[in-house]
Amino acid sequence: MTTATLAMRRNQNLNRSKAELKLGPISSGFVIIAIIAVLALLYLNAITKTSVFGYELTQLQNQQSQVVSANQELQVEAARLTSIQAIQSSKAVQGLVPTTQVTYAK
Amino acid sequence: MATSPDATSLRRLNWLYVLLGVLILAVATRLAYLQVIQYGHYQALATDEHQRKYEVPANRGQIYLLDGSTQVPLALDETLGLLYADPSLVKDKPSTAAKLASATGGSASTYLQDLNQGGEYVVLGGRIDTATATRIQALNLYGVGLKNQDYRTYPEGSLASQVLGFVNNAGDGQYGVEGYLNTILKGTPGLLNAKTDTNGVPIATADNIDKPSVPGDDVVLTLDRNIQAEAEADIKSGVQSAKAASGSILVIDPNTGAVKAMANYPTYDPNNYNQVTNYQTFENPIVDDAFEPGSGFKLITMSTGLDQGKVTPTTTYTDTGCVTITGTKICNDEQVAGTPNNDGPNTTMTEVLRDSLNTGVIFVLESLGGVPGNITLAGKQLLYSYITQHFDFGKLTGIEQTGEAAGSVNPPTSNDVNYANMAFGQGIDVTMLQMADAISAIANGGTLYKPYLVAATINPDGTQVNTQPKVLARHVVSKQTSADMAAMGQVVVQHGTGYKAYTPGYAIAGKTGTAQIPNPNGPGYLQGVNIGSFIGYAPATSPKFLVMVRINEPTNGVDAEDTTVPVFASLVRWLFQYYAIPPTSSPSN
Repeated sequence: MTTATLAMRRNQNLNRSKAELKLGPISSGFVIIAIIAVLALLYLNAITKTSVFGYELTQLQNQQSQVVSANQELQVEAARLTSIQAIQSSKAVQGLVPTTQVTYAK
Repeated sequence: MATSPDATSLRRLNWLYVLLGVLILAVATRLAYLQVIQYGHYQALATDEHQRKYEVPANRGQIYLLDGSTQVPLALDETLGLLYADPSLVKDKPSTAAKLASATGGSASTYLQDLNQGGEYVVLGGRIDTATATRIQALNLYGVGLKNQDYRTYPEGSLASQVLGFVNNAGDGQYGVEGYLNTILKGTPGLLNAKTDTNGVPIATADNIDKPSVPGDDVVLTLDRNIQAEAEADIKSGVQSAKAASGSILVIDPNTGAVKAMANYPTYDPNNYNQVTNYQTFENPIVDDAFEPGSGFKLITMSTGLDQGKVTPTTTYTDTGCVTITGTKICNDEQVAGTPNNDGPNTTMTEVLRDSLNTGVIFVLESLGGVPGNITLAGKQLLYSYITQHFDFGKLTGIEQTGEAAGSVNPPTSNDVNYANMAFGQGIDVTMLQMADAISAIANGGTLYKPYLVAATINPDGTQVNTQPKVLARHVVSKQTSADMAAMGQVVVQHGTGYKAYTPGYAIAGKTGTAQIPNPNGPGYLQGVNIGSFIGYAPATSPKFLVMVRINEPTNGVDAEDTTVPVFASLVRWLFQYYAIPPTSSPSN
C-alpha cells in the first residue's frame, strides 16, 4: 500500500507523534539508587547462597570424615581379629594338634 | 552604620559553611588516614577476624609384614576422639564424672580426680571410638569436649615391636622402622587458609587457599608373620627356661639378605609404649647391641684360612690345650669338667670347629702369616682384611633401623694377644645382624648381601616399588671354602657342641659361641655370666634360611649348647615344616 493510496483515505492522520521519556536530575538519582540497590541485593543473595553452600559443604566434609573414621575403625578391628594372637587364641586353632610325622610326596 | 539583619544572617551562615567545611575536611582526612595510609594494618586485622590458617595433617603411611606372600597390616592410622574438659566450667563435677564413666566404661573416681585438678584444660581420655563418642555427645555435658586425633595402632600387639618402634604423641616415629623411615611414612602436611564464621568454623569459599596434604608411603616389611611369631615364642621360652636376662633370634634369607624375623625378649606392646619403664626395651639389640661373639667367630677365622689355602679341613696341628702368646697363656675352654682340654696331636681343622678349640684358630691365624708358631703382622693384616673388607665387620649395614651399631675391630697394629683373642671372637664387637650377614655369605657360596627389612614401598598413587636384593661383594670366599665350611659345620651339629640341633634327615651347619662379658667398670671380664649364641643354616648345601640365637646372662645353663642350641633346634625344625623342606636322607641317619 503506497502513501498516495493512504492519503486518499478520509480522516486518517498521517503524522505520528513520538512518546518521549524525560527524567529530571532527581528522578535520575532515584533510578541510579534503585539500580544500585537491586544490584546490591543480588550480590548479597549470591554471597548468602555461597555461604550456605559453604556450610553444607563443611557438613558434608564432616560426614565424610566420620565415615572415613568409621572405616578406619573397621579396618583396625578386622586387623585385630585376624592378628596372629587372635588366631592362636581362637578355639579352632587351640583344637589343632601339632604334627608328629610328616611324609612328603616325592 | 548599623548592620542589617540579612547581612548578619548571611555572615553567620558563611561561618556555618566554613565550620561544616572544616568538619568535613577533618572527617575526610581521618577517613583517608584510616583507609589509605593505614590500609594494610586494618586489612590484616579484618583478615585475622574472619580468616584462619589450618594445617591439614597428612595420613601416615601404613606398615605391613608378610604372611607367605600376603600383606598383613602391622601399623595403621586411626582417627579417634580425645576427651577433654575445662574444669572451671564444670559445675557438678561428681555428676559429670559419673555420667562420663557410664558412657565410656571408665572409672568415675578417676574422672573426678582429673576434674578436681583445676585449671582450664585437662585430658580425660584418648582413643575414644565413634560409638563411645556418640554416647558422650548425647550427654551434652557443659565444659566437656571431644576432638579428633590421629592415633597409631598396632593390631598385632607386641609382634615385632622392637623392629617396628612406635609413634609418639607429637606424631614422630621413634625407634625401629617408625623412627628410621619417619620422613617417608609421615608425608607432607597440607594448608587450609580459610574464611571462618563467627564460631571459627571454616566456610568453603572460592578464594580459600587449600594445599592438599600428601600422605606418607606405605611400607611392606620382609618379616614373615608366622616365622616372627614362632621365633618370639621360642626366644621367650628359651630365656625363661635358662633364667636368663634377655635373648634374641634373627632369621635371614642367606640368598638375598631379606630379614624374615627379628625376635627379642623381653618385649613390649607399642600400643602402650608409655607404660614401659625401662627404655632399653624399645631398642632392637639385634642391630644396636654390639657384643663379643665368642666362638661363633671361629667360622670367620677358619673360612679365612681355608679361602687363603693356608689350611684345609684335614690340616692337622698338635693341640696342647694352651698356647703362650708374648707371655700370655691362652687356653681352650674345658668342654666337660674333669676331662682334658686338648685334643692332642693330629687334631684336624674340622675337629677345631667341632670341639671349639681356641688353640686351633690361633694356629690358623699363625698359618695366615706363614710362620708356624708365630703371629705375624702379615697374618694379622690378612685376617683384618677378611674381617673388614670381605665380611664388612666394623661397618654399619644400613638396615632400616634406628641406632644401628657398627661394632669395632682391632687394627693389625694391635698386639698379638688381642689378635689371638679376636680369632676366637673375644676383643671384637659385632652385632647379631653383622654375624648373620657374614655367615650368610659363607653359606651361599660367597656373595655378601646388604641385609634389608623393607620389601617394598607403596606410593600414595598405589605404585609399588619392590626392593631388589643388593650385592655388596661377590666371591668373599670361594665356592670350595663355602662347601668345606658347610661340611665342617655339619660335623659341629652332628658330633660337636651343636649336637642338640641334630635333626635326622636334615643337613644343618652351625657353630656355638659362649662369650664372656667385658667388665664395664674396669679391665677383664665379669665372672659367672656369659652370652651364649648359636648360628646355623639349613639345608647346609643349599641353605634356605639362616638362624642366629643369642641368650644373655643365663643362670640355668652355663654354655650355649645348653641354652641357645635347643632354641635353635626348635625353630629350625618348625622352619623345615613351614618351608615344606623334605628330609634328604632316612630319618634313621
